[in-house]
Amino acid sequence: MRKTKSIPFHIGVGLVGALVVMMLISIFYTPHVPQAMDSANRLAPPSLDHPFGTDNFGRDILSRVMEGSQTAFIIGISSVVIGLVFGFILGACAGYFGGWLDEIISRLMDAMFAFPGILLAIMLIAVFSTGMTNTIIALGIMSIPAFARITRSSFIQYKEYDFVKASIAKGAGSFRIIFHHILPNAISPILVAAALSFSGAILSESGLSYLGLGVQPPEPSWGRMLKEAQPYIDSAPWYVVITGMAITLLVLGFNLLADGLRDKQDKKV
Amino acid sequence: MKEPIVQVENVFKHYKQSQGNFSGRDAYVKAVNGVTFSLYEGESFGLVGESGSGKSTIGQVMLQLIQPTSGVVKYKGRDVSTFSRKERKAWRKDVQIVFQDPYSSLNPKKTVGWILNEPLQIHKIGDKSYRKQKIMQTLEEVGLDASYLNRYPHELSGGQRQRVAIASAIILNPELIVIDEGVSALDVSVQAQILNLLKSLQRKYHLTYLFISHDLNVVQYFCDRIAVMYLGELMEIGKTEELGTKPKHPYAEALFSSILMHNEAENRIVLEGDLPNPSNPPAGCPFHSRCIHKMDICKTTKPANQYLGGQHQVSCHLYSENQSIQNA
Repeated sequence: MRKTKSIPFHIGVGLVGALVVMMLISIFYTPHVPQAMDSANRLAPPSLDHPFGTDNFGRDILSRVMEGSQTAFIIGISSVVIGLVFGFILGACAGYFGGWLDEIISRLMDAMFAFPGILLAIMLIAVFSTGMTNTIIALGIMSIPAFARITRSSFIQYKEYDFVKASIAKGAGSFRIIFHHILPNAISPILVAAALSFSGAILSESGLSYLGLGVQPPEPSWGRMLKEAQPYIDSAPWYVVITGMAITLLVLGFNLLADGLRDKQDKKV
Repeated sequence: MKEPIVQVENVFKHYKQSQGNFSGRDAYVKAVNGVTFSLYEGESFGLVGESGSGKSTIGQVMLQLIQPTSGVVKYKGRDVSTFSRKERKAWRKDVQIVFQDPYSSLNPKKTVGWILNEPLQIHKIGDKSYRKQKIMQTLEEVGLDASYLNRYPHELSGGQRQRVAIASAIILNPELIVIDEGVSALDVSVQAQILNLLKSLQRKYHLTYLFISHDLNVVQYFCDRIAVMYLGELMEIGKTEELGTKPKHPYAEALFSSILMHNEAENRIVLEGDLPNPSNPPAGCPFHSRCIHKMDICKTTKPANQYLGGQHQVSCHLYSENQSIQNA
């Protein structure tokens, strides 16, 4: 694979990389205990002891942002994995086998696309109740149609290629065709979709948690922190700004990464 | 005459074409329209015709890569569509295909070594060391060496890629290879090398070739027998010596006159008009709209297949018995 000089791609890698490092550090170390309250020190402005200040219970915002990144990554990764696995299977079946199976799967995906994603997630959470696991499942299901569509179109494109036909003529079965011949060629658009879907999941999780439907206390979540910060936007603006920045940087990082990946694959053609 | 290895009997392939209106009638592209011929062991059978005449479709129907709308393909006397799963897999070993475009016929993400190992892996032939030795032997046979094993297709030239494609076809020791425009995408000098390679492999392994091409010079050089296709139908089948020098069918005549030497150019027959739309072919003889000998009967009645002595067949009213009396 050729090296690319795409600047957005490198910025994306840098942002995501920095946040991954922060997330990894937070597993072993945070400057303060994220849940430790200090009523004497409520809504303190940034200082040496609390670089990002404290929240309405006197908890260290930096430590909470760090711990919140774990939630963001767990939710992002898990929901992308769910969406990717089911979306890939559905899309691969629809694209490879075609016919009535394709019709059924495609119409189902169209129906899911017709709902605004967040509405679907709210509906699922309303049925299955709130919590981290249900948020992940809801966001995962939400991202299935996008993966299914991309996989389907790649499969339709590649199954007509001569190397696929040549392999069928040599006696290869569907499993071999799908995993050895089509998947390695179709992987890059799927990776782009995964990066986009990751940032989408983090945004949706923040949105759901902001509405109180996502991750529940005491697990820290950026979306819920944003909600908690809202009443103090005048007296402690750093709380809102820092939390919002964390969400923005992670989403921006993944979007730039996806853009860079797409440029990379366009250049190869 | 030797035993036929493949018999193609009355094969039709019609593709549905969405109309885009509400007439309620589906249009069909008649890619192959009732084709019958046999391939005999050890021969090179050339299938020529213009683009869109359905020659590649026949090749792929023969290998069951495309299901025919109707008609039967028999391999060594047995209908291939009735094979069980197991029989079909075993049969796949005996018949191979080499495609025109060596840029799309090799998986761009796999190395030459992987590509050559795949057929052996599919059919579970030999152990690791046997496979390695077989791959090396096959590579040498097509004029490549071990240094190619770890290369990707994009690192190879067109001729080298086609050699890899041929190697992956012969590694299973097949009996029949369909060569679908196998040399058309290559430079003339490379074409000659590949054709000679195919010929020497044929002698060595007693291979049968179905050679699909639009290049008459190549077909005349390479094939023992030639079939001329037009609009999904066979116009004439005959030995290369007979068909190449004295084509009977007006279309074959026009086709072969197009490759006359420069000094004979005044004898060239130039066809008027274009290939008719295959979703709406002319009634009667498909060629009558462009034929210089056309008669009234050609517009209404499809000519039957006539045998002109031996294996030479032609579908043309000029050679129908009653017509020749009328003409005399």
